[in-house]
Amino acid sequence: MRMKLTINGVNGSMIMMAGFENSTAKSNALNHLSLLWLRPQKDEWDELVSHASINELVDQLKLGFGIDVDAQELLDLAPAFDEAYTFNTQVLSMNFAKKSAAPIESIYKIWTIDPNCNLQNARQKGFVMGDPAYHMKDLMKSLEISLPEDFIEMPDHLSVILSLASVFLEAGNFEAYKTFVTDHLDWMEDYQKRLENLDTHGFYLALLAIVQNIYKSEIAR
Amino acid sequence: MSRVLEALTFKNGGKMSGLTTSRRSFLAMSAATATLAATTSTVSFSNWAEAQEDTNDAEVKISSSTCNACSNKCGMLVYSKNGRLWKVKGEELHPYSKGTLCARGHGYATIGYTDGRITEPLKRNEEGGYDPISWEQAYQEIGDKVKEILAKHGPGAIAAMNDPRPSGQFYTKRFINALGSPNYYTHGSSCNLSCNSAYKLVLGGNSAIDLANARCVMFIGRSYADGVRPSSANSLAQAAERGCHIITVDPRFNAMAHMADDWVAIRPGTDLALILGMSNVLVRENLYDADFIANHTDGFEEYEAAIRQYTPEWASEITGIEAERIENLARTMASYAPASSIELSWRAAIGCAYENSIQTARALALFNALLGSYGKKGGQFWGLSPKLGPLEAPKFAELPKIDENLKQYGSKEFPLALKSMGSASNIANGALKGDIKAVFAYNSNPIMAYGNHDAMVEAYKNLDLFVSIDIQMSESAIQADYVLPDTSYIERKEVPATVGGKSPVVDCRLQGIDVIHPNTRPVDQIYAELAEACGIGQYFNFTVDDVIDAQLAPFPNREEIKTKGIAKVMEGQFKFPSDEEFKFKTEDGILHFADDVWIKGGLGRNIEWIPPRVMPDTAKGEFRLIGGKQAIHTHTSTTNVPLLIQITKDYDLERVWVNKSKAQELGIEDGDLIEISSPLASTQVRCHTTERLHPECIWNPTHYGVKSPFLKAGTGLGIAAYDHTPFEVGKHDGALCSQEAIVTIKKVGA
Repeated sequence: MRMKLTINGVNGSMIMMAGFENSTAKSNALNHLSLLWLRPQKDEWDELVSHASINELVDQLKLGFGIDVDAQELLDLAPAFDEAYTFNTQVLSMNFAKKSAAPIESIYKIWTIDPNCNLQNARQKGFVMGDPAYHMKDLMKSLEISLPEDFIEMPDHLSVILSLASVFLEAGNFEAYKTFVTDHLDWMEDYQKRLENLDTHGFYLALLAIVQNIYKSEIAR
Repeated sequence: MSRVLEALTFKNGGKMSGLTTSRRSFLAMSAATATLAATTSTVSFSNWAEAQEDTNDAEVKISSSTCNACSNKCGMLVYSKNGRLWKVKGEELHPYSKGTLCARGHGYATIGYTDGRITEPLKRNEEGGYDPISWEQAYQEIGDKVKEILAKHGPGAIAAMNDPRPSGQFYTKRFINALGSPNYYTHGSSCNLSCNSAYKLVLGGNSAIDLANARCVMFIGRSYADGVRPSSANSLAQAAERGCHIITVDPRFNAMAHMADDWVAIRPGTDLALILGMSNVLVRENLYDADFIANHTDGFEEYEAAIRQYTPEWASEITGIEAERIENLARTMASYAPASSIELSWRAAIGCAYENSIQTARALALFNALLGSYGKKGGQFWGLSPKLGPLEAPKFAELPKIDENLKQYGSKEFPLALKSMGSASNIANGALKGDIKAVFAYNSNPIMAYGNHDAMVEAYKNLDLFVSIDIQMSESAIQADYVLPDTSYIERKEVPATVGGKSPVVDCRLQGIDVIHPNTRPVDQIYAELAEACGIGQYFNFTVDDVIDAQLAPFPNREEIKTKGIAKVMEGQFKFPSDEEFKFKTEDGILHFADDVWIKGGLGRNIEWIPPRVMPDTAKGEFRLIGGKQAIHTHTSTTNVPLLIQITKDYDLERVWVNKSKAQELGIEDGDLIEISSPLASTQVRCHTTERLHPECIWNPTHYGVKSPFLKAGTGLGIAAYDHTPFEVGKHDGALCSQEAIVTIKKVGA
């Protein structure tokens, strides 16, 4: 399914209006988005894409970021659990390289910017556990945040990034939030290109468009 | 607020809904205040990166490992920082690297981090795709299937294969033998089965060349600059510098040929005739070492009589090399004897290429005996062989005795084939006939590498169970019923290995970096857990460390080996034997010029000419399709490494070579897209036209033509090695016969 979601462009004035007063809405939206990029579990997925939840997400996006999303369009795009599970295991995993696109930050960035590393892939893209991953690991260690076992070596998975952004907001640390989002959500365009080259479900393209808009809105502030 | 969104806010007040606990604890935070207190300085990526740069040297850890990019397993040092790979370099102590790693070794070291690793166990579904499953489910289902096959067909219906690496070899063999099956195979049938089988029968085992002292050496097909072992390439360069006379016999001016004094562009498939012709010269001109032959061989008289017919003139007709040149080659080699020999080669023209490869290797081994080069400085020698300690019960339960009537599959048809290798290619025939029901393939791509791809796919479809243990979705993995994700070699510790020679070492891969994907498992763990599921867990009640302790027990410096990963052993013990001390490695210590042992494999007691299975009819525009390695790749295993495939792309290395004059006759120019046709396939690829290739053949680099739809880096480049090679293993040894292929070519659009 390759339907495009209607997302009204981010409006600077709206964002200024929203400001940090709506950090809870932002946090909720980020956390919801974070869960949608995880490998789904049946009951949870049904709830995450239920009419009420999607409406809540749309409300939080509007309230938090000033992003207009058509709830009905998003609901229409939302896949049932089986479809979502298949898409997640086939396309959002690493197993099938050419036919998949794992949402992992390191893959879309230079592996390390450390000039002391003279490994052949040091300045190349396309590798996991690059600088972004180690930054995330160190960051979470310093914040005493632990990851589920499945993500220990995928600390720069999009779900982790969105979730940690949400944590900063909930802690009320807006400056850290801004810095974090600026540093770790700047790969969405490259990721979108890769996802669009695959047989990608419209729902995930829509989610990605939302995340891109969030990123744009936050760096524009 | 909905229940979902309510759940999402848990971190604000430590609140969690009953939605699902696993997801809600996605980020478990024990100190919210830390998050609150985090400063921009802490969170900033650029600040972090600067700090990393400043603390670089102090945090770099060095571990010893061995490279996995090819079968050489050169010693390497792995530098890691925070558990991440930082640098690799050659291990000074290791005889193969001597401080240098080749380009492959450097590029391949990054494979663990490539986007395209298999990260979880996969099961083939009804649509032909793959679904992730748990390890427990995979083991349970594989174990049940193995038990069912054992009950219905017996252990002889199960086979296991691997491209040997220390742990992979040890655990694969122990696993299949613990099941009661003798069907263990290496990749040999697509590598060096033919020549190693011959050397075992003639010499008792492969000898090594003493390049440091050699005065003359002939290489047949072998290229130290294409199939690279760094120390050998360096030794050859030094030998050339020193004035050693180097002859390379190859239809192609290979990457090593610029170091040679003489390039002999032989007609492909006729190396046996060249050796027979040169042998004839040595015999008829009394240029052989009569004392050596009298003291260390028998059957020479029969050999002498047999070789008389193979005159240089006869050899010239077959090889396309002038008779006078053949005479001169023989005389030159004899003039430097005994510090003169033909290098034993590896894969190339003698390993698995032709129906006559085993006979070529046999003739080669006998030729070196004529030169009296065995055991001599500058000739062929056997180095020291360190012996690992035994694995004794009760820790290592004694394996069940394999039914004496149950022989390694293929060993009856191919009695000359080396048992320690067997014919993995022939397993496809077993699958087609229904003799083989289950295959376990570790670090191995049989579908792409052991025979024609389509034939192999058809054969492997017949299996009841095919398990691939790999790190990427290779052409074999995509045909498997189950794919089990292995860690990459740098991520694990392995059992010890020995490297013999003048200055032997024992090495032991140490874990160089953190495990990259948490749901992958090292080969030792996979086989031990598979064994448990198959009901043979009692044979695997030990750890890798237990194996290391037992196998290193005989070495006084075992602690050094364990901690450093490598150490010299048997230091100062090597010396060349005197003529009285010298013995071949055969059972009776002598070399048999004529031997009945060959008869059971369909060969004569005496050496004789055997033509290759097919010859191109040049009048009809036919060519032989030959192939070979490039220095940056190893078969198909490296074509998904982005760094290495980029070199291919940068230099158009995927092009096939066509002789320039022949190309002109056909209206083909350098860089043209050509169509290669055979009864099996029609493929298109760009060509490189050159005078550095025999006009009767096309040369294809055998790494390309990726067929797995999941492999990313190498897709769309070149053609597969065996698309035009009929699947018919060699009748004498079960080897692949990789170059028994005839094709025609034309310019696309012409």
